[in-house]
Amino acid sequence: MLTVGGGGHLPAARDPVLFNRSVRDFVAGAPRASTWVRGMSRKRRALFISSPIGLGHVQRDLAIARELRKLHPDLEIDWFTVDPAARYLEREGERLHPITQRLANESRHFESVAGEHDLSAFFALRTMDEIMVNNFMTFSDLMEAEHYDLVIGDESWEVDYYYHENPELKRQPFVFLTDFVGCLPMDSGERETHLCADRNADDIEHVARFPYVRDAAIFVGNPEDVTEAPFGPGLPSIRAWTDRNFSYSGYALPFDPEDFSDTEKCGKSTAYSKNEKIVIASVGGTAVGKPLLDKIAQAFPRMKREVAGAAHDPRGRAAPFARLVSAPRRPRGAPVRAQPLRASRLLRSRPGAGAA
Amino acid sequence: MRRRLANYEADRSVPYAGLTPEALADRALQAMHAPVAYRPVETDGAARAARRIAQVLENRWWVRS
Repeated sequence: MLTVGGGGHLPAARDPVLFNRSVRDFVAGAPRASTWVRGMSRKRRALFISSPIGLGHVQRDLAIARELRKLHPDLEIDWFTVDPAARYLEREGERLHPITQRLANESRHFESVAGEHDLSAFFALRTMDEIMVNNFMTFSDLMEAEHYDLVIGDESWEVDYYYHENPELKRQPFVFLTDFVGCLPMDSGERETHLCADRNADDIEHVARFPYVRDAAIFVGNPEDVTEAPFGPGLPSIRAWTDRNFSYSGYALPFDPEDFSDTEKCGKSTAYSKNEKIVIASVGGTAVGKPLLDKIAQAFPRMKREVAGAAHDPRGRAAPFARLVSAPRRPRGAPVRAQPLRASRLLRSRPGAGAA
Repeated sequence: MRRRLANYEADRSVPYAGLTPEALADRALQAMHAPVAYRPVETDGAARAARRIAQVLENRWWVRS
């Protein structure tokens, strides 16, 4: 007999984590075989949960993990994410925990609810309950089966939310990272305004009631990146609340721009010739931006025509302008590397360089 | 996102709705020929985040020096 104190109707929907775990324990019981490693025999390990929505998170997370290894070289880091982030990490030689095969894909969900260059991030988040629960259950199973000294979660909203809903499940330090705080309505419609404020109030209450869930909360950005707008009617300013509940790390770039400041050297190490002007079209790691890429592709012939007509080199022929570097159609493609982007910026900073 | 770009004086956003390839091409060319003047982006963010995480791992932030 299990009684849910303070519960109501539909416990499977209101308290899915408790419900799922209870059903599992009732039906399956304790696992027949398991390994318990003695405390002092355990290696120091961290689990890094990286949001797979796009590729920005995982690139900054890898940069953070590499810095963390400098401080704690003996710390082993396992990654907890899915494609496209998972594929990127594996290519970088990182260890993805095998249990991640069970994760549902948030990135595909975002793509499936996006219109043409149009994504309501709030409703995308709001309609992925089943993904959040599935992924938290996977995480929770892992925490039961293995021991970690630390969990780091970048936009790991499922872990953060269900830890606050089931705080007794937390068994190791948890560091939460994000680059946005609070949901704001994209239009002034009553429904979205109400739902956003409701969700924000929920988060505020969570953090106030269980401050020990987040051992640290890091805003990846700067204070001025956070809006002064309130979380909703009668709710605090997002900036003021973030100041009280987060530390700011500034941007976490996955590369140092200084490494690419030498134009000549940069040009030599890329596939571009010295006089070539480069236009890079980049839309992030999900397929949400594909219509924009298509539009850029349509714009390209005009750009090429305009510049080729305006610029001539001393030999009297049109200067080379650009090739269209195609980006992946699918989110599984490789992330855009820093180097061509830097080359692009540098060439752009020298207008006319291609015209000699 | 636009706010962040603006903080680095790098907001060149264009409304997508109604954007024609021609207008996009013109804006891109305009941007390409304009001087680059955005503020540098800090490069120590990953290290700062890592130090904060390490403090949690070490769990001695409360020791008085």
